[in-house]
Amino acid sequence: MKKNDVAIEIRGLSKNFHDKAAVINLDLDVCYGEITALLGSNGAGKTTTINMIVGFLQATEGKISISGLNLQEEKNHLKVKNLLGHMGTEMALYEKFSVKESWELFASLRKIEKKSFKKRIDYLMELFEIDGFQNKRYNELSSGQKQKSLIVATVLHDPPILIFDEVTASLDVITSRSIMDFIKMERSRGKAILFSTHILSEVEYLCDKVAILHEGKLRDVTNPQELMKKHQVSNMTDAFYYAIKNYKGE
Amino acid sequence: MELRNIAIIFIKELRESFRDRSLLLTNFAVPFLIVAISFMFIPTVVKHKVDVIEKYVFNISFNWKENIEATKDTKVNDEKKNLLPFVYKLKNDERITILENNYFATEIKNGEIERLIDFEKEQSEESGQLRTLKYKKSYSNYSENLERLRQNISKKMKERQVDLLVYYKQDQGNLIINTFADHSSEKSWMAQNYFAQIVDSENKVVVKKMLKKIGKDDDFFEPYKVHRYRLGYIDLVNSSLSTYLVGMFVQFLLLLAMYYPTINATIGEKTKHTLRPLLLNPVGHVEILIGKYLNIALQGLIGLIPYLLIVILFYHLGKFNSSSVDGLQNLIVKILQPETIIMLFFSVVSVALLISAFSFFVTILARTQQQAQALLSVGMFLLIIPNFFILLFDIKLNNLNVFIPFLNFSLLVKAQIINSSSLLWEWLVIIVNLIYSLLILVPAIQIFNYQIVYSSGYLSLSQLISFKRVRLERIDPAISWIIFTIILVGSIIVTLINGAKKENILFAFFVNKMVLCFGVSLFLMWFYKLNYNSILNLENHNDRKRWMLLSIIIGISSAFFMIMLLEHPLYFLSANNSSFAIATKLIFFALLAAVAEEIAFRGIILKGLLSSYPKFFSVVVSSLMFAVVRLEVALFIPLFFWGTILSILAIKRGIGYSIVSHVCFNSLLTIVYHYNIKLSLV
Repeated sequence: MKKNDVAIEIRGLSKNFHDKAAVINLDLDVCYGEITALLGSNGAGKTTTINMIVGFLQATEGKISISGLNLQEEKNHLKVKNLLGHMGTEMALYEKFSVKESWELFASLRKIEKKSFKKRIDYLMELFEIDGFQNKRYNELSSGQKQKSLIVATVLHDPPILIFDEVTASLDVITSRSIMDFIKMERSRGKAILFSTHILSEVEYLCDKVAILHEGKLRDVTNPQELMKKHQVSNMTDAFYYAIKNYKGE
Repeated sequence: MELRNIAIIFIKELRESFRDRSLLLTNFAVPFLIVAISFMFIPTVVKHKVDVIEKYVFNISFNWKENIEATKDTKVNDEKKNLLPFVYKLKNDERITILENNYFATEIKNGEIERLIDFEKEQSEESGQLRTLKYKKSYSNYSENLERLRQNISKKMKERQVDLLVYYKQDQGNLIINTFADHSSEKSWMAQNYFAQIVDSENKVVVKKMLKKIGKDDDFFEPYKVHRYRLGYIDLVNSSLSTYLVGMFVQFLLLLAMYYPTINATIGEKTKHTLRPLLLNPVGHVEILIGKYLNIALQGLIGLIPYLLIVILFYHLGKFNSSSVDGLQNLIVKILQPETIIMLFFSVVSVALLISAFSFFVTILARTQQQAQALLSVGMFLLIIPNFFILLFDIKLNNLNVFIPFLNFSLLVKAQIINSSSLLWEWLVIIVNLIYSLLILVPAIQIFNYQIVYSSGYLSLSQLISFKRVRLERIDPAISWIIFTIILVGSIIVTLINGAKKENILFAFFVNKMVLCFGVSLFLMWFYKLNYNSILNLENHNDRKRWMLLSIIIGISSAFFMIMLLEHPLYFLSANNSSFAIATKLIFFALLAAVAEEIAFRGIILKGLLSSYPKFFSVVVSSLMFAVVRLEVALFIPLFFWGTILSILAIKRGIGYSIVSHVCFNSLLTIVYHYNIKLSLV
């Protein structure tokens, strides 16, 4: 895990649902020590791409390698799971368990020893200001608390690659800022981060690299500053707006 | 594949299951309650219990191989060449020839033939009655005649100290043997039991088959010995309802026990979005599936514990089996051996594992809970198909079980239709279901068979489950389960206490019917977006006391009107006049039934209608429903008016007042009919 080593290598990735193409011939590199934003309007194929990377969906065509492990080979599937930390939409912890019990379940599945688990949990709880609600059941929590407890479950094993899909949607500024600070801190520790969001101010604040998807195709891989410069605007929201407008006009 | 991961998933599933309230109710509370109740009432059901029989020898001294000859004896009857007369040799070289349409009987005492009775020649009341029986069901007083004959024979046997009356006739070339025993005598009952064993459990014997059997095994008809078997005798006539109900209900519980865990473990994880975080862990899919399946199988096995208890119960009491030959109810007790018990249990265990595997893998295919429901309905249908075919070979009118597969079909269709719901479709489905239940239940009332209670209970339960799962996710399932359990257990207790009589079955049926109403009303409740709090809220008026008093007066006076103007319409209230019976009647009929009815008809249906329709229409429709549900023509008009009064009370001041009024009404009816107080003017 050296800076600028390729963490996720995607080559010629395509996904069809029945006859409809959701992702078309996508090439992308996500490197260690970088935050890569995956942008696109609704239905552009962001979540589909992420689902293929984390293994929820199988690619119709193309190749995904994670730290050099090819996902096409079945023996790599379980190994990859230890490298990835993924948090996306449509995720929840168990209603019948307290948050801590869910964490313990995942820790035991990941074979984390009790001592290091306790150390890690104490650290994460302090980081995300989790005070007391770890003993409550998941369905008793507020949406901010739910996101925090989910993110802890995601990074329990301190994975070198983090993939976040719209994690800050519907969160207040303080909670989402704490998550973004965490992401920044993980970058400084040399981790690779793939990040998708609709809140473009976050992209400006966080990202080193921007990949824009439009109708399943990767249209641009650049950085936020260049994107703004290209469209002669001073914020990412406008830049993204004009970029998408351009693609539509083509 | 790692065992450790499977264990972790299994323990996780197990912990989730044990924290699920509705599961605790279906898998533990309800089954054990039912078993406990069935154990409590065993003394009323079991008449004789023979602990250990050391030795019983009946030297039935004729040798069947030599003495029964089936020949075309043309000398005997030239005219009826196609009929095979049976020549039957007795010990003292007496020969009898049994032709079509003639009847003989032998009395057996201590294993010896005591007397031969030729019904054609002998002119006694007994033989006269037996002769009339051959006209069977075309004879109008058939069942009364049969009962009288039975009593007569029993009395005669007691007088003459005869163990067994064996009754022979020929029917289309077959020798048919019936036995009569005096069931108050242990010895007589044992003799019958032995005889039944000899002549096959159906108590019907084809001679050729018999001879073949003898040829194989010479010892088959040797004087027999019975050693150390525990046996019991269950009085079928008086207890068929209760014993069948318990046994069949337990079978259904087995399916039920796996219903929730299966849905929770498969589609539940998908819809609650907990599956993805789990899949991100380094665990193989197969490990997850196996871990989950183990839990479902375990739940199924837990659901089997009551079943095991029932099996043990029957081991100690002896198995019972009823068969009717020419409509004569005979009792055959088969001896259950320990090996049989073990085999029986293990066969049920394998069935449980199979069913759980089946339902588990079926629900994995589902994408939504509705789909899972639909697939499980098909699954249950498939599981019942074997029963259906068994019934095909010997369809009897009272075997209403055959309807149950169709019920599952209706559930399937309903799940599908509600899935793509428009208002019109939903109402159509409800109406079709009501018609369907009427189709089953109306003929059933005429037959008044125990099966009906089972069928209607099953129906209500399925309705309840399907409504809840498909549409009523907002309503706390525990509440509907508790109400259902109270009503069902109540109906069982009432029927058990009072014996299985027509009125009691009607009552149990009525209670079940009421549960069905609950299903419909729960749907309405969802549809009109009501909740329990808004329904049960007693409004805070200043004149609370005055209205409460008024409600009580209205309840009592309406009850008096009804008692005076009608001719004893509620028969079940006068059955069994013990003090325990009045207590149960008061609790279940006067209190719980009244409260349940008010919640359903005034709280949910009326209030739901009021939110969309004018007052007059709503009151009339809800009262009509209230009156129709009884399915009793005589009660229709009075109940309609009574429903209107209660509706007005509920609209004016709230459902609390109509509940009070209804409880007073029912209590008075209970007391008057229970103590047979004559107030009727009719």
